[in-house]
Amino acid sequence: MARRPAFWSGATLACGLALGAFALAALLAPWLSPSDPNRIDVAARFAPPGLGNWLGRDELGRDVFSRLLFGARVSLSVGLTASLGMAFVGTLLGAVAGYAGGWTDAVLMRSVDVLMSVPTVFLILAMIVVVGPGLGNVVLVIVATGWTGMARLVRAEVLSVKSREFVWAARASGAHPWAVLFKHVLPNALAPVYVALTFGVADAILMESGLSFLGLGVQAPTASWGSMLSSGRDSIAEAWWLVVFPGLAVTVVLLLVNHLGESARRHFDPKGA
Amino acid sequence: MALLEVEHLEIGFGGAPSVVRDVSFALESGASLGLLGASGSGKSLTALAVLGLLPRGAQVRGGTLRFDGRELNALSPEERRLLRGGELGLVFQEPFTALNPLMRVGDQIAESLALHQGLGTEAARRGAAAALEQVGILPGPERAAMYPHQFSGGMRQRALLAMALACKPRLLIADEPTTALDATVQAQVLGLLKRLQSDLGFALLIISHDLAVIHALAEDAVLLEAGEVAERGRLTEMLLAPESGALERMIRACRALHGATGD
Repeated sequence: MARRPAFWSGATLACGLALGAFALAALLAPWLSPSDPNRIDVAARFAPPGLGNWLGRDELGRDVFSRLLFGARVSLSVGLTASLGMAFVGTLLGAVAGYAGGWTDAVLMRSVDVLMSVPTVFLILAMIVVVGPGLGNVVLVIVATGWTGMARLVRAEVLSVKSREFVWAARASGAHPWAVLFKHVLPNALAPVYVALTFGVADAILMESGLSFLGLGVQAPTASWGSMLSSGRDSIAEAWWLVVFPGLAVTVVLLLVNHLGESARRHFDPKGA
Repeated sequence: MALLEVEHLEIGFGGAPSVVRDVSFALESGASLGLLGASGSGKSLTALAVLGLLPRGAQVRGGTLRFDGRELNALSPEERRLLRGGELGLVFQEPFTALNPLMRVGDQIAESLALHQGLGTEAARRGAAAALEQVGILPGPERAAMYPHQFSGGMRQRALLAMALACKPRLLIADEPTTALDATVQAQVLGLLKRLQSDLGFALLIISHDLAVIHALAEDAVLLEAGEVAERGRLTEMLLAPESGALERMIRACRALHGATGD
């Protein structure tokens, strides 16, 4: 039997460290920022990158570097919480559906089918219109539409694990069905969740940027990478730095997260990469 | 009154014809009985029906199951659950897959002790270690902290035995307990099972397709074929004068196998 690929290869380690640096920068934003991200300085409007304002200033003279740092807080926290939320809801419902079977399974999985049959972006937009914009609502909406894939993954895994003998053995020793599910079945069915969790972070970051770009996410003047892209769009001809840096930040973080997800998949998928 | 009484048991899946028909046997307290039969003869389903663990779709269609005078099918699912692992123990056929790979062996035994005997964490842990020592896995406390992959096949089978016996069941059902083990380990496990039975005094229902395994543990046997009782009685007498075609075929196959290996 071939050994499964180690999770921490050189490239993965580098990605992990880079992401850690991003997270640290976001965490330390108030201390790292050269200026208040929302301080307006009309005299310095559209100041190009240079000494004193490394990444330039925007249409209101706000420091782009500071806003990027604070924007990272939004992106990373939304990515993480939304992905964890999706994993939690999806794992719970998927596990119950797979283990209980019968009607419970049918009702839960047909609900998943219905949710999945509507285009996600459309669903998210419609829900945001109902619950209103804002950071908390963005997370809520991403979780509400994103748990379905996770539920399917976990259900499939639970179906295969629950027929293994140690599950029968647990049942034969009188364990309560909930104990069987949460102590014996679920821990052995979590491998695909770790993988989906990483990719979920990337999806959520992208979705948050998109929503903020459309003005449905974080509200002004709070900085977010998406809203920075959106407001920089009008002056892209005069001030390229307003879109290039937030765009780069999103792209780089997504690449890093996706690489981690890829490593996790190779590590956990017994069928090999 | 016998400890376990199975009368006219009938089991079927959905609307299909029954796969177990009119199976009856009784097992006295502390005694042994072999349930013999080829694959698919219905012996495992019979055992699962006693435990109340029939797979989805299968149901008891008729007959009665009595354990210690109690009508099993009249009990609530909750009462049947508490009977399992407590008064009714089960040993599985696949030692390599019957232990949760992510749980320490001791914790899996302790789980059952905590459930059926209401022991606290510490007491259950000590009980688990003692249960392992009882089946010859020494030193108990250290082995209890290990994971299944650190055990050999024979050790895992003994650990399963410890798990089934931890709560001092009055009836132990062993479903092909040694099929996956090599001959030497098989003999060890059978010897251990026999010794434990005389020490602890549980009744043993041993299920196997292997004449030798049944012969090692039980004097009486019931032979199932295609879901029906084909023959029953003293195993030694049955072997000397087989009445059914099923037993004759089984004996012939056994001879051919051992003859071919120069036995």
